[in-house]
Amino acid sequence: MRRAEFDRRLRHELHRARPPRASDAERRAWHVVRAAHAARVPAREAHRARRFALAAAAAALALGALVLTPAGAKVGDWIGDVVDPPDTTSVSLGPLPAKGRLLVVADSGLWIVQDDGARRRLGRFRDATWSPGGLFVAAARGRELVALEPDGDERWARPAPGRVSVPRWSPDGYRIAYRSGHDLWIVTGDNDARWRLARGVRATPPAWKPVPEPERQVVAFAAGDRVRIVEADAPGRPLGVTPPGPPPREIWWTEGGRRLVTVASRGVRVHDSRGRLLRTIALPRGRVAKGSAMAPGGRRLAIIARRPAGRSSELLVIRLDRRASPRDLLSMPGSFEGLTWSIDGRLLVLGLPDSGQWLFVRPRRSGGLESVERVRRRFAGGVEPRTGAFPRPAGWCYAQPANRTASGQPPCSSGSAP
Amino acid sequence: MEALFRVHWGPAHRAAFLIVRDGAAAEDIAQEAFLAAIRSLDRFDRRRPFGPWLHRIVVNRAIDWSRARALRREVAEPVEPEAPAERPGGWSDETVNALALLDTDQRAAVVLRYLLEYTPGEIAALLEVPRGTVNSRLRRALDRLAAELEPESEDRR
Repeated sequence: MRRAEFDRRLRHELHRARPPRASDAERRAWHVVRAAHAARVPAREAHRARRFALAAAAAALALGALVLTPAGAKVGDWIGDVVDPPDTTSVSLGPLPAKGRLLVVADSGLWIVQDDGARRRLGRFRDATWSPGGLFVAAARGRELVALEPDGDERWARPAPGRVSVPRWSPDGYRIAYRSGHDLWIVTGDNDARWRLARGVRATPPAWKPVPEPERQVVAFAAGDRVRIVEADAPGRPLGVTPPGPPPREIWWTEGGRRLVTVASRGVRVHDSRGRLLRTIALPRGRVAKGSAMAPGGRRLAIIARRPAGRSSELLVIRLDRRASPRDLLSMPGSFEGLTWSIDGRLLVLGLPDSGQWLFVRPRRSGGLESVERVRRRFAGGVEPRTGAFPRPAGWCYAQPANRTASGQPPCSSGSAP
Repeated sequence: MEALFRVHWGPAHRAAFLIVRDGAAAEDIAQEAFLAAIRSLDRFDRRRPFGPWLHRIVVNRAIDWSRARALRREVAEPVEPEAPAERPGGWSDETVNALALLDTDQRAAVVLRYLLEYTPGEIAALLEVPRGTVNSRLRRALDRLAAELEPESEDRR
């Protein structure tokens, strides 16, 4: 075949080649691109908005007399809002009773709260997790998984075919597991590559086995009525599976990855590292688990339990290294939300939406209780919002980025599932 | 925006796929290129054509992805089985397989030249390499492809 003929044929063949499922890919991409384009504020419009704000300010000055009268006060507020929208960082939270940085998911966005009460808003994200050393945060934004630096800079954003939720960073820091639609995906920590680990998984957050490097990274996830244990880099080779059981709300690993613990609404199941059931721990009669968090070190499990008939909630702690019954730590009217351990395992933080408080509980000291008041109001710029989710502590990490511990246990904690 | 997307998505997606040879990655790369383009629309000189700007992002990202994959220990099974493309006859199957034998830079040069229809000078500008480098990549790539696709032909020059 002559060169010209070869070129023509090559050109023809390349134009004919179609990626797999090209029309599905195009539909998904158009959805993402359209949303991104709609969310964009073009520079020209932003400029116009600034000009409008200045004009509004001038108008406000011209209408000074009107604004100073009681009848003009509302107009004054409105003009004030246009020129200077409420600064949501200006309402102080006050110092926290423990060292470290709290990751908080609120209606107003994702926040990092320092132990001195200073806060930084990272953006409008729904769900988030610390990287193991606290260098980064992985967060969900619609159909995107985003890696952020704690100062709010976006390191990368990874579009996903479905809504992204429950990101969890692997103990070695090189992978993030997350749910997109109904599938579980893994992306490398530097966003180099991603692959689908499993289809049809539950909304339960995946749980990375705390293993020291350079061991293979293993993740457990809920699918159907079982929990599957899989090597993250080899989806085709399951390492274990639990027997059928009630759908878990949360999955945790104990110290060194020796036990797999699943928390369902009526009780806790403890399995070996291959998923064989070792024991079942029932919650006190009539209680329903609404959230749980494993203490750093993996020996104590805290559970938020609610009485279905009553209007009170309880905070229970189970020692997993002993055959002990759940210990009732706290019982109060209303609901509890967003349970997270401090990194030293000495404190638990939980939200009380009904009273607008965060409670800091010391499990080892009876009566060790501190609170932060008016939390909802503080995360809404000083205005008490009538609706919306309560600001939920989603993870706790060292004040400064830390090295991983020798056991591979991530130094930063993850809170209960949303 | 929709018109721009419909015109440019197909070639961008196909180019990414031919370079990376991974359906999911190609979709990501093309999608991210569009998102990057949208983010930079305000900085974009609207008197210039959109295609080359987008193609530069797509091809460079695809090259980066392929290089990273080559360096990475990757034992993951391909999660999305590559459905056979529409290949009614001729050497389409063989073309895609033969492309896989080229190195990433050669593959990118072939895709830019024969799919996206750029001249060697334009490819050199897009990839920020000397024109001579583009010519030698194309020559080596075509020799290799011809050897694979037309092994018995002795008259291909």
